[in-house]
Amino acid sequence: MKIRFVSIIFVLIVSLHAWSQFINAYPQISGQGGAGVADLSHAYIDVNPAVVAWIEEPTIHTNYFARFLLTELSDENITFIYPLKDKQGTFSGELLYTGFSALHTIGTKINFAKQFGEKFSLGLNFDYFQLATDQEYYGRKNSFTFEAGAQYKLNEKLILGTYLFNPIQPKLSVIVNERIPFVFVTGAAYRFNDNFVMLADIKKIQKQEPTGHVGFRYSFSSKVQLQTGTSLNPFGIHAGSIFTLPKLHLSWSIQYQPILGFSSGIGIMYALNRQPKNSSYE
Amino acid sequence: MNKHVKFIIFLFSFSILNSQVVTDTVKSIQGDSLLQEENIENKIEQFTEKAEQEVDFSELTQNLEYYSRHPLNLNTATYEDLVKLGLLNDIQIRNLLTHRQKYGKLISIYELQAIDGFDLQTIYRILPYVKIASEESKTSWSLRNVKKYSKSFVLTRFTHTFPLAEGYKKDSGGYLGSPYKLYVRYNFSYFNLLSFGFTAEKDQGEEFFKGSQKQGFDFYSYHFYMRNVGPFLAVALGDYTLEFGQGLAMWTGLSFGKTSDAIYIKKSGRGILPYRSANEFNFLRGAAVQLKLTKYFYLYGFTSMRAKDGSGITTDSINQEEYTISSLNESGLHNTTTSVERKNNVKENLIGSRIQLNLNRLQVGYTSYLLHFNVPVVPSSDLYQQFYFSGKQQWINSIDYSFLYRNMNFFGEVAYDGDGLPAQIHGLMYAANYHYSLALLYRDFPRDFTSFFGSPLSEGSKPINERALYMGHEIKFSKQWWLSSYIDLFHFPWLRYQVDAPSDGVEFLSQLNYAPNKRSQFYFRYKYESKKNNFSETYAKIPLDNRKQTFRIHAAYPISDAFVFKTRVEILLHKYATESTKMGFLAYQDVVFRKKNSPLNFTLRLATFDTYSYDERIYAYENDVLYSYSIPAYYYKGSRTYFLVKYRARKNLEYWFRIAHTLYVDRTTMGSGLDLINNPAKTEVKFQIRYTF
Repeated sequence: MKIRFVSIIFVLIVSLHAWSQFINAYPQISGQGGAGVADLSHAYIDVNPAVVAWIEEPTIHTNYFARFLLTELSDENITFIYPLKDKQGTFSGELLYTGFSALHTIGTKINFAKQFGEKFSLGLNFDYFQLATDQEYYGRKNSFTFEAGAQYKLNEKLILGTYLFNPIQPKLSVIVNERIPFVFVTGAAYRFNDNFVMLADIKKIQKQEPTGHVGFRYSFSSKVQLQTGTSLNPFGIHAGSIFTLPKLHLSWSIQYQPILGFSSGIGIMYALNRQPKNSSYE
Repeated sequence: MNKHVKFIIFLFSFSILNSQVVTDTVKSIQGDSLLQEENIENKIEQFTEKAEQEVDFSELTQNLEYYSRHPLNLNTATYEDLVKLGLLNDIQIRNLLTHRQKYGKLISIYELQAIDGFDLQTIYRILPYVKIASEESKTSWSLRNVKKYSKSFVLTRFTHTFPLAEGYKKDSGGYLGSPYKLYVRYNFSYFNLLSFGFTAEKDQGEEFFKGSQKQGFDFYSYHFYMRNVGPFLAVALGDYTLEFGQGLAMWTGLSFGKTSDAIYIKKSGRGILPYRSANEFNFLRGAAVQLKLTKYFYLYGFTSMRAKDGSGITTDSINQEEYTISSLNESGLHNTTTSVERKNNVKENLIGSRIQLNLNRLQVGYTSYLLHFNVPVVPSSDLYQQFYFSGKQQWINSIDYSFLYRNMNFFGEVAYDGDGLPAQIHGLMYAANYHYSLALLYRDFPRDFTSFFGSPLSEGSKPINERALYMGHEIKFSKQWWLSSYIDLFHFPWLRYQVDAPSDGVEFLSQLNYAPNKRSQFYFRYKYESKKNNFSETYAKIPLDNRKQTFRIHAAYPISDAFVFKTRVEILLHKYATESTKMGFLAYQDVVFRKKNSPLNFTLRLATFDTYSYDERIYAYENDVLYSYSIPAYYYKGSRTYFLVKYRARKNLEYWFRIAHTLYVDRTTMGSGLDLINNPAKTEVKFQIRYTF
């Protein structure tokens, strides 16, 4: 019974979210339809390694995301961000865990991101993944890869972002010739006014059809932001909220996919010196 | 009086420029033009989609390279000079000349904005290649000047792909020669008044100094070209090209068809040009001259004798065996026994002339030439080739015209090949006002018309069996936003290759452009194309609809003075007959480093693609070493990466290195036949050196 369950989960992961074991889902991004590659208001190096270049204070965040409300398909991660003085760059480190005992991935990511001028940031992640399954063709596998991202403020309102995960595509298994997929994401964020932001991403995961993500974020006050969005192919509806307290960001999201059901997540971001500050929207 | 008017214009032209534009414009005089680069890349991409063969586009870049080193002085440039620049249409050229005539020489580059038809995008486009100077050109014929200002260069390029294809394996019976490609070129030039040199090329799989290629390279090309010598405006010996009228009768240079520059459909023939490319098919070999008869009349004479490759067959007649040619091969590859046997098996002789009248607003040309093959050309018995040219000799006559009336440019050409009805093409470009321009074109190429050297705007690769109406628009919403779109409705009155009935189709393109400054461009493009193709699943092979829709988002923007990012996402939807819709996808990210005065520049691309089959392939331009072009079709599932670096070791010594890697993730082999590679990945390496002296 257990083996069958593991197999079902494995097929689910491989066929629908083969990449998710390497790139975690985050509640703040999920709440806005999964769009965020050009968003400057988060600190997720899995969404765009360049984003942390805009962070000005040492920050720590942790997130939990239950895909389809299944513990076995959940993501857990913790990230520490340390900006150097005088905008010389930002170092980050992330530990992530996806899956459960019979099928899981442990990932370690080291990131360096830097602003170049006031408009452009570039980030690189160096990743080490440890994969373990009970599947005989895969077994245990350790892989190195890298990720790169960039964000560019074209003007006061429009920001562009690009993110590339794993261009080198190391093999997962020699026997089945499967590789960790290459992921390409590009998108834009448009700020209509101080309170309202629209985001749109196009994402291509190798061997899967391209997906589109559109999201909106509205600030009711300096403390409360509401999010909504939709993802296309497969279709999903997303909603979420962000609460900003002194030194603290709390985010929560829920998404609904007609076939597979609900997913939900929660995240906490904590500024070690003072309130997490993001220079881009201030 | 003129001076006062001019001063007012000058002040006015300054006042309409905001400070950002002034800054950008000044920078652009010294810098490159991303907009122009994007424009060229677009043209080449769209050309390749239609041509589906390897083409050397160096003619295009050589011309612009010359003008970037020797900017054209807009105060002294003649009509012919401005046509040769190749970046302005007739309306703009005439408006510039009229402005100069009325108000005297331009005082500053900013004054261009006061001339009708010169919008900001046009100015951005020409700025790297023009200048405003009051002095006359120093480019005159004198031995001292030739010695002082002439330039020569030697360029050599080596290309190799690995792992090797099956055709290179010993005893495979495949390719005769080695797998590398070699290219050598020498060129001497004195401004654009004198040019001579040679090009030699060995393609992949061709032999080198052995077997069928004992003379070394498979292809050699020589040219000698002079301008403004005595009564001759141009003299060409060796290999040359001709561009006349609308390209119906004679256009052997590069010819672009429908592009996203929807209103730029008129061809402006540049007459005789030296041939310096490595394409092995479309050029003439012999001699050509251009003579100025009077102030308004020009006379051209040209002759060519060269050998081409033909697919030949020997047929038995009652009395004797006869060798005939069914088609001419354009690939230039001679790397298998069959292709070597076909090499140069047809002798083509051509003699002709042209007289041209150039008035201020009217140009009329009459071209006539006689073409002779040493063996008869007899098309195959396929029904679609029933009306193709048959025989050994062809005499073509054509009349072309271009007439300007206010902001309207009427143009066209009528050509007759001595058989059936004449072919014709007529068009209109109309710049209604700053915000709106329109282009219309009607073309009618009868099913029995054949022009071996013709290359007008057409849907097919040759002007035959086609009747069509084209309409293009350009709407400028502001200096930064504009929309280009065209629709082309075409009808093929007779059968075509793999279309067993008369058929019709439509091509529609709409592109919304945003250029916030001269170095940034963003656009969204939608393209729809519908044609008929035989549906082979039925016995009767009924032509059914074959539709393609393309959605493209493209962004090219500088992130600093030295770095430019280019991002593209493209989706293609393909619906053929009753089959379900299939998809193609391409996304890439480019990082370009190009710093003024830096000896090093580079380009990096990471691309991912995913198409259902080869039919959903997507083309994308790739930066390559100088005078080499790469526009691969991305198909199946995988990724492609390339890295190109250029290093200028000394002022006169440049190195290029390029590595491109393709990986398929949905299969274990690449290619087919002799090109089959038993590996899902392949790597191409190019190395090039240019020494200038």
